[in-house]
Amino acid sequence: MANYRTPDPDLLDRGFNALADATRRDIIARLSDGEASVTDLAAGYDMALPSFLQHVRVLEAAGLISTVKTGRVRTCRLETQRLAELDRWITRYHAAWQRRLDRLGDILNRKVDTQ
Amino acid sequence: MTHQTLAHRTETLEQAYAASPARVFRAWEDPEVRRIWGSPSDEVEIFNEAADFRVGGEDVQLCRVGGEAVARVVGRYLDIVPDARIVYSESISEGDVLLGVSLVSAEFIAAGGGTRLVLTLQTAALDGSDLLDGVKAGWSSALERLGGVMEAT
Repeated sequence: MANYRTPDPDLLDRGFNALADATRRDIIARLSDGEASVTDLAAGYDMALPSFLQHVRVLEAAGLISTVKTGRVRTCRLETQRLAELDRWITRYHAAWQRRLDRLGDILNRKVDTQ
Repeated sequence: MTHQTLAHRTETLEQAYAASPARVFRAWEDPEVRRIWGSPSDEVEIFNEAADFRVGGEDVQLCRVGGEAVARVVGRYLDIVPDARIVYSESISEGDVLLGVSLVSAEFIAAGGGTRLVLTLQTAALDGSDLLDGVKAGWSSALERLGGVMEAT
């Protein structure tokens, strides 16, 4: 039952740094409605595309969003890694139950031997 | 802790034992025996802080690895049919963070002179560290609260 949780301080630092900016928080708010292309996202802001891309890179480095390039379109989406981590937690928890049931069998057999 | 990521899964495990349903049931009922098989590996030591095997009763187990507490497991018995069925909820925490909750249903079925144990796990894993992880569902309110905390200090 060990290692249920492994916090990563560096990732937290990057996460907080990434969120310490109104534009980047706004990008995340938009992506919470669904994925969007960089071009569409950038159209909502009064800044040059390179500046906007810089914000996207900070969010990506923090693990808050991921981007995928298909042809000439780069699509951004909120990162669902946390969900995958929770899923792995369940896998470990259920695997622990399987080992418990095996050990229960060992104990029951031992008791038969000594009776 | 309002905004949390949540994942669910239901899974059924089956195991056959040569022992009778009554004996398998007793291994679940007896907290000292359960402490031994309830550990998922030899490295994990389980300590019973509380044991109350009856409907509404609560079990509290502390899991330690190398003397260090790694998890606290609280079980609450919801349904007990002697030699046949146990349904209980199990919540797993580390420190004050709730990691997961499972509805555990164990059915002890007589089969071939022994027991077929059918174990159904209905598990929800959640993430209560709600600033970074709450981003998907509620980043803005988390930041508002953080702002409130900063103003208050």
